[in-house]
Amino acid sequence: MNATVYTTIKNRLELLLNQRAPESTRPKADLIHQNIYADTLTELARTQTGTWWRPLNHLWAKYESGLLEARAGHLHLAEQYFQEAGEFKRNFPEQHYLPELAEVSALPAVAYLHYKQGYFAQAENELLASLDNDAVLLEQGYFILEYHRIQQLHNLARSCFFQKRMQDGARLIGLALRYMLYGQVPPLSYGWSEGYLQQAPWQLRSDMLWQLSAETAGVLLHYRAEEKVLFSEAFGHLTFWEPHTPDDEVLLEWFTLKELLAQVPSDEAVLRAVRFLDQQPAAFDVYKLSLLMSVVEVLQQYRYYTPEVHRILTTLVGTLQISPRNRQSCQLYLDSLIENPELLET
Amino acid sequence: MFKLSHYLVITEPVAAGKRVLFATRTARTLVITDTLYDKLQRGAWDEISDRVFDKLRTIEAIVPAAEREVHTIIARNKATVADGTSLYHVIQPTAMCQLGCGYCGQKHTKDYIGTAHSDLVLERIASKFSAKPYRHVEIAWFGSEPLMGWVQIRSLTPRIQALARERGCTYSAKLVTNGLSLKVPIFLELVQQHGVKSIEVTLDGTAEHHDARRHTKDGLSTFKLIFQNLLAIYNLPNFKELGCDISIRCNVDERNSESVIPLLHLLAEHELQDKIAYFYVAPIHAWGNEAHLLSLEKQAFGEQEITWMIEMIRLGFTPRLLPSLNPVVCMSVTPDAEVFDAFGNVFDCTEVPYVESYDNTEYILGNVGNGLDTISTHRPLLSFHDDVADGKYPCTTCRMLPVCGGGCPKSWREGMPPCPSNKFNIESKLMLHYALHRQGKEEFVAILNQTA
Ligand code: SF4
Ligand code: SF4
Repeated sequence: MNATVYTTIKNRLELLLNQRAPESTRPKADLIHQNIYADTLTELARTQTGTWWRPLNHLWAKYESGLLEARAGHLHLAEQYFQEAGEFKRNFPEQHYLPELAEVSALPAVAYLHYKQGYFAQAENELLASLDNDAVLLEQGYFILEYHRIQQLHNLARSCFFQKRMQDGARLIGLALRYMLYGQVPPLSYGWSEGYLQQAPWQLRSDMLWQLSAETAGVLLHYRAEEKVLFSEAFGHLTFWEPHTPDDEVLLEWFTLKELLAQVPSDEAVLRAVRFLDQQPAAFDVYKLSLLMSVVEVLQQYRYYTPEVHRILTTLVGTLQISPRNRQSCQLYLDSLIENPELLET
Repeated sequence: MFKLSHYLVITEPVAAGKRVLFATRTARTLVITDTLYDKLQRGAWDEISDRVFDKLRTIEAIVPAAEREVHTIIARNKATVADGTSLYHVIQPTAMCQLGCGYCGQKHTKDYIGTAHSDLVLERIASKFSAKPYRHVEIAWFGSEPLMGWVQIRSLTPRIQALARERGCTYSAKLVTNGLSLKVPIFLELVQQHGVKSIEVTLDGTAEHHDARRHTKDGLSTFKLIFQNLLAIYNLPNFKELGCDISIRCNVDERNSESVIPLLHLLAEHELQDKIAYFYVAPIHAWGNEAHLLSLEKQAFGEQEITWMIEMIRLGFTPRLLPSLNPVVCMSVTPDAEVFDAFGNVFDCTEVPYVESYDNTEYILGNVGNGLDTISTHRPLLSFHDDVADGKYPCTTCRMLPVCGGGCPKSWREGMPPCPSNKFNIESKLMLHYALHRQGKEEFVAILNQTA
């Protein structure tokens, strides 16, 4: 990188300060994916369980209520809801795969409570059990549960990340992504089949890709030193797949750019990363932040992380729609580069 | 697999073929047709569409057939207590009050919480943090008249605020006052420096009635002074931005009940409808003496309350018509909440301090001055939830339990039913609610005529 390229990059970054990210053309991804998943599962269960649909629906709602309470930190209340659900479940007969259907929402919900209570091993066992339980139902035509299983891989990864088992967490994310994108079967549980994934609309895959990747990109921001290794475990070699939605296209570009910036990057790669910041909607802001951090590393390598760039980037980070924690962590990191100029030598 | 919940209030028809259903387990309302009402009564679940069934199930109007509902409610209430992350204490910094209300059972003396006791109270509060990861600390300043202990409030607050900060907690306070000393500068200091977010002031009607009851110990009138204080505060240009709610409580018995409406008119004349956070009328409760014998018979009170609410609506107030869920009835069922009085005594109930008839009863848990480890861990009212589950009180079978919580544990133990007015007038409140929210003015007038 020479001074001319540096000035171009700096100027383009500065221009971004006065621009608003393009409007997203779609509602929040998790909403779409919730709806596709829940509507499909409801439809399948309704047709297969006959008069037991209402009790099953009630049971699922109880677990959902408990899960919501647990998310709000009301762990006793969550436990109470799960107990109510457990009592209700006792009357379920061994038909229509009702016990397994009950577990579809029970196991991840109870696992979440255990995770919040700090019983990580128990929570992880329940998530693994959920993978097996879903496998039974997949054979019965509940194809949509393949995405539920991917969700459980993500939950397992969250548990690892929380316990600072970063490699394990990143590996699990990698397993989930490589299954969705390349059909590589995860070495956990059994009965995986790409055919199940393909029965669901591409939008569901796209939303899950977005969710898993966004959250993981956010987590890795806090591990600057290990980022490259963890990134390659979770996102490495994910540049050879066919995008099916506009979001897929953006994700593919992000995977590609992160990979390019991790090597000895060309000036073109850096400029392409700056274009990504410019062109993508706010729904991708955490991805932008992750790219920005990679750009910062390149600038550092060439000793171009100047006070001027620092000023521009800290302002830019302040405009992104990201969690306060991610913002704070990145700003601290950027400040440390300026406050400790010796870092520029590394 | 399902049954109709016991915890339902369903009105008579409010409009052609329509009724209002209030599911107290979730405090949610639904307008239902007579046809649906009939299906519910027959338990004809198969005749109800999935969509409607789901709605009824979600608001818990329909529940699992095998469920022992009272146990579910009590278990949820106990879970909510256990999940609480706010550390709540009541401090009564003085035993002194300027007023000599006839219905007050407290014995007022010129005593104030001293430095030694204050230190111990702080130590006691600090000791609670090891039990739970609290997120908030709340102090309620009660009386006698807490503003007579202004010096103590000023010196204790920063110390408690610092304690909260050290533990990563936010802080807020509330104040229950007769309003006599609530001058603008004091109000501003309370709000801006002492974290007070809500204040409750009592006015027992207009001057004539209020002064007959809430006079000073020397028999002097107080209404005018209190009202002037309130007006000055409510009319502060930045009153809303200051973020402190001021509500008005009006204690009534049969001697002053006719003064509620004139008081409402007076408040409306001064355009306080949007400024008063909450206006409510309270039947005078027992303070350990026989004052409750004066209180209006509850059914009659319930009826009168509807008249007052209608008048409030007419005048542009927005009274709270329907109750919300009340899983934690009061501090007496919260194991970590305590009351401290000016002498360092520790209680689990706000109505015990300074009332002579409670001297030497188990309601006094101890005194901080005797050593914090001597404070009793036995709290007589803590078993209230279990007592209700065990059928000890009528709350066990009462359909209002989820929104009432059980009234007042101490009253039940003393054999005085504490049922709030909702128990007696919930149907009328539902009709008013319907009229206001669903049908606009015409229906409202029709319903007024029905309830009047
Ligand atoms: S027991 Fe009754 S009087 Fe005591 S704090 Fe509770 S509600 Fe108030
Ligand atoms: S106090 Fe009265 S209204 Fe409240 S639950 Fe008990 S019986 Fe019902």
